[in-house]
Amino acid sequence: MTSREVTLGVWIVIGIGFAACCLVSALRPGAVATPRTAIAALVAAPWRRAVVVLGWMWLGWHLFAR
Amino acid sequence: MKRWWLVETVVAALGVSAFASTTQPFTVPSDVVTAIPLAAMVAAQTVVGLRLRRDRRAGRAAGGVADTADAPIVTARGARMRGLVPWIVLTVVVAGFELSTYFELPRKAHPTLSYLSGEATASPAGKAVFFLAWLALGWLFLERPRELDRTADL
Repeated sequence: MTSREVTLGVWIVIGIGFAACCLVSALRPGAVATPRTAIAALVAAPWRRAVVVLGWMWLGWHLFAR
Repeated sequence: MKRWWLVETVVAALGVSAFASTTQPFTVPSDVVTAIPLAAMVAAQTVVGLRLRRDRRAGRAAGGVADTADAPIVTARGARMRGLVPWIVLTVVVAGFELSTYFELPRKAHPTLSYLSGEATASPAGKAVFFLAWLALGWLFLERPRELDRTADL
């Protein structure tokens, strides 16, 4: 097994983890917060909102412009 | 009325994403098409911030409700935190693995999320999908906390 395969495997497992969280939050919202709720909690404080939005802006610039 | 506005926004997002898929990084078109959502986000966040401030002032004038403008988010904090734990754990895992991968070379053997996204956006279709996903993520940050919370199931 190559390093690339191992790394990709871990990313896939993490992706499955995210998908599982989304699924469980849809089925049992009392147990796991929905993505919208998690984001609401994240951006509830103005300074966190500013940091998150700046991160979003950097991500777009990084992925699509540079 | 609101539905039409939503339809127009979705159509605009699809159009911008389609145009973005035709651009190459480090070119003026890619700079411009990426800068448009950034400028829109700054403007929209300013409006959201002003509305939040107005709501708090209105609440304060109505008798101290202002200080509890974000109260729905604060209440039942323990239950909410428990629901957030899986997301926090996943975020920490992603950040940790991204960092550990970043310091491993060669990059092709140890691809970071950024590197993988570069491979995924090599094709126009992949780039359009990623651009649209980026816009959709930004859309979530435009909703005011209380509006988001009202839809929450916790």
